[in-house]
Amino acid sequence: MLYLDGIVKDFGGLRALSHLTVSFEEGQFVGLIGPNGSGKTTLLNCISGIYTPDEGTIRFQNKVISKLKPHRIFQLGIGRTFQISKVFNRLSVLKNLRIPGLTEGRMDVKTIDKRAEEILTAIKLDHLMHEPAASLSGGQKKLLEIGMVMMIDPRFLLLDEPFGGVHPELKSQLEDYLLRLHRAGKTIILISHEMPSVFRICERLVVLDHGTLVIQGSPEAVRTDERVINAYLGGNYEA
Amino acid sequence: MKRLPAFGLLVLAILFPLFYKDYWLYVAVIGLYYALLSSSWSMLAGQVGIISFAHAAFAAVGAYTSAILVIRLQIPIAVGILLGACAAAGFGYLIGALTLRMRGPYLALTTLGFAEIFRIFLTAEYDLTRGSYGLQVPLMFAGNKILIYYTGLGLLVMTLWVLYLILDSKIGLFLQAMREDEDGAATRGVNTVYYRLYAFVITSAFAGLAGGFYAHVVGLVSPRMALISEMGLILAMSIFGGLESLLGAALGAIVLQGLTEYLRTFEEWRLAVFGALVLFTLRFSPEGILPKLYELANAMFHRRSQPVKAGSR
Repeated sequence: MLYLDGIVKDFGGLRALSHLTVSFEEGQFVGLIGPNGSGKTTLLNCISGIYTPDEGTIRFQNKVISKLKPHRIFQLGIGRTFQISKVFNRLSVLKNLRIPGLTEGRMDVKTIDKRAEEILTAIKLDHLMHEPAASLSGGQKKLLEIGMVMMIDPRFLLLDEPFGGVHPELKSQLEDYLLRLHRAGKTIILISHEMPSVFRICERLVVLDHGTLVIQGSPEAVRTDERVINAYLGGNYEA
Repeated sequence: MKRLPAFGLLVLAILFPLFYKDYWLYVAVIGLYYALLSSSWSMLAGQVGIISFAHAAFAAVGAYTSAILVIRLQIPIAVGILLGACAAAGFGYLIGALTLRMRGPYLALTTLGFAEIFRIFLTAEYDLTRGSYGLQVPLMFAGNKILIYYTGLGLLVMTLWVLYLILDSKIGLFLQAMREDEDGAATRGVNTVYYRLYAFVITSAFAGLAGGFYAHVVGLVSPRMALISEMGLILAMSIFGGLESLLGAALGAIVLQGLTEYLRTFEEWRLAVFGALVLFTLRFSPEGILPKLYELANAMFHRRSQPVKAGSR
């Protein structure tokens, strides 16, 4: 479904992604892990169109998307969230959700607002609908970002550190919501350093280091791999 | 209820020529020109977050286009003004396309560069623009100040109406999202390239419209219109009136234009007064002096109109 072939991305003299080839099948819940600077976020930025790869191609449903603009990629059904939430602080929570709904172009405002209310109820932010997004906590902003992405009912979700700095109670709510989305057929790629969560909810892990693929496979296979233990998890890791 | 003060101001503006004639009416017309410029610039800077220093130059594009077409082709003044707005929109598109990937100071300096190049072109060229002498332009309505005033007022009302319509539409929502985070907006489906250009084209068109109007009010267009000090004046008016309020920016322009005339005896020192006013506004009321005054007046009105509860004394 999403196939990355030989992706290279350089920033000056630094190679962030080095001939990376990896694919993601429909309906999978994939954890993308690796040490800081391993190229995880750069990979998401390349998929979502914020960066154009220097080499290689990205195909989504047999269509090359490596040179498409971010809004086109979003309209194809690939939604993403950011490590530092990119919600629109001065707009109300409802207006934040309206934006992706309106860009989609096929829904009228009434339908958009109805869908927004459903999503806000699902992520338990419905009582804050008319509050400015600036008034939300960090965790609530992460939820709102996912809600914004869900407005167009995407096939593919790219989530960058959704659990980072989130209160444990909200984290568990977020995990439940992501599992519900996965059960509903969404493909999810999740970047996270929260290893217990990753091992609990992901069915496949992709490990990057220095912009290259170290290993991919089931959480059990990754957990016991020597290279992953040495490069990332550490010798005495227990999930 | 929120629209009541705006309607009140409109009624006052309509009645203005009954009380003031000649000199102060002319001052008000020039105030309307700056109000057109300030409100359209505040749309670009305050609502979209694009700081451009080319707005006065876009007004000059509109003024010269209308002047040249009216003089050389003898077309009606109204058509000339409209074509001036179209020409400014075209320049806005070019500058917008040139600065698509630029942000903050880089964008501001590029627009400043364009403004200076255009001003120097107007000064150095002679056959078309008569250089620094400028062009003598036919006056609209044969110089009838009352008709000119109502035309200016109509243009301002129409400009504010269109800009508020845009802000209230989905485009306005996209523009406000882009102001906060362009990458965030793009990854939620907003075609940021298109809407950035859209903002440049629309606001430049209104600057051009203002310029065309001005040309046929004063009867002379010269490179002075594109001076950086003119841009400074627009900036001061917008900040004073409230950068994020289109109506506030328009009012700021009219108030400061009135103040300019009042301080005429101070000659160049009045610019220093403007500078001090801007500093004062940015330090103590960054949202603008006029929105602050309105807020205070509103609070006082509500305090007075609240009934005294029994036993509260």
